[in-house]
Amino acid sequence: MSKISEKSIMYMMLGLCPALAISTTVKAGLAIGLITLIVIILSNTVISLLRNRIPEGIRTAVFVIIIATFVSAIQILLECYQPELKNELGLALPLVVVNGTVLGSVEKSAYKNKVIPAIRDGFVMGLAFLIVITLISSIRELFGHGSLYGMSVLPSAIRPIGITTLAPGAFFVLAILLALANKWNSAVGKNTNAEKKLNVEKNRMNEKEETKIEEIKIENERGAEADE
Amino acid sequence: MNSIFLLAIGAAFVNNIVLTQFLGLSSFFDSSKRIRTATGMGISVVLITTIAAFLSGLFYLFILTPLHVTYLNTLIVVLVNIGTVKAVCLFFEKYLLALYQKLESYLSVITVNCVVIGVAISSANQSYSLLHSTLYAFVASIGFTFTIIIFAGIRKQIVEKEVPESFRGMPINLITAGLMAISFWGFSMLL
Repeated sequence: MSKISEKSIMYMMLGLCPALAISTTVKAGLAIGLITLIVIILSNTVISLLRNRIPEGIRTAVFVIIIATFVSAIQILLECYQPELKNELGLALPLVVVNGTVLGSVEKSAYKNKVIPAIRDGFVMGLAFLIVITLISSIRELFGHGSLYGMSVLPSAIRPIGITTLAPGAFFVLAILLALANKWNSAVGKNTNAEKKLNVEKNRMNEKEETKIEEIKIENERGAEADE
Repeated sequence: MNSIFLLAIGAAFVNNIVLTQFLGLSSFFDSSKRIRTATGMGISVVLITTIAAFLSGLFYLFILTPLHVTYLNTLIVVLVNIGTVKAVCLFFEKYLLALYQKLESYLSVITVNCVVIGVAISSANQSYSLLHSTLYAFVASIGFTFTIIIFAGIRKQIVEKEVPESFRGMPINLITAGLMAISFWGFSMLL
């Protein structure tokens, strides 16, 4: 049991930006997550191979050119073989280029490591993104339409909560997931032995300080009485 | 004239960049801690979005379309954006130093902002004319500014101690944004 580190939550938040808009169905969420994963792995490979040749000043532009190449290639492929999916993904597909997870993975990992570690790091970040976006879209589809990946799961007697599929719903679902993550972190933090010992020692120190302060107060009062 | 007004209302409120189209969320949450920060971010976004949309429109309509290579649009938009930010920074540094010092940090963040790129690409997808896309970019970014300033004002009022512990920080901001999104969704009945 380990904490979900704040850094990974931050990267996730940066990356979720446009994907939240289209994550109303599991199909779309899964699609954009897989595409992001593929783009991360491919661009990590290329940028890691080129990392010693890229000048410092135009770093971002070069990253973007490489990432945009792969994204444009995927766009064209989708337009040929899955045009309905491309229409469903809409604006989120070109925006994978400036996805925070992709750029974060490239900046932190591909630019500084060799190829195999870069691919591994990229795979991990992409997989985390895929899991989160699929989770969000399955919650939204389940509560919004009562189905998962087009197949009805909830009995038709239960009325779906329409707002989850609309824009505000994404914010609420994300807020609840983040709150759950925070709860997990604090629960994990409280249960580890090291934290327990720390807390016990803190309490002891607090008690000592309190008794000292009380003694000083009593002395001051006595001193004040003596003066009078 | 009527259609321009409708376009303005539509772009700024109904299809609000942040709350309906979900673009620019990271800068939305980062820059809304104080109203002053939010205003600075908003002004930079308006400036860069309008210029970048104009230039991307030029590229798309007069270079990419005649040559039938419109699939390069994604790449061109992002590169134009990076170039615009650099050019605006250089221009400000030389001629408007005071303004540059205030907006410096925001301008560097907008380099890979979803707002600018989203606006430019959606103008291209919907085949807007050059004037239409520049106007759309201008009004959409003003909508963004409007939203971010309101959000900063609301965020000031959130008392951290009254929020349940798990919800402090990001989650309560997200719920606030969601409630704002609901109220902006009501605007869709305007048109």
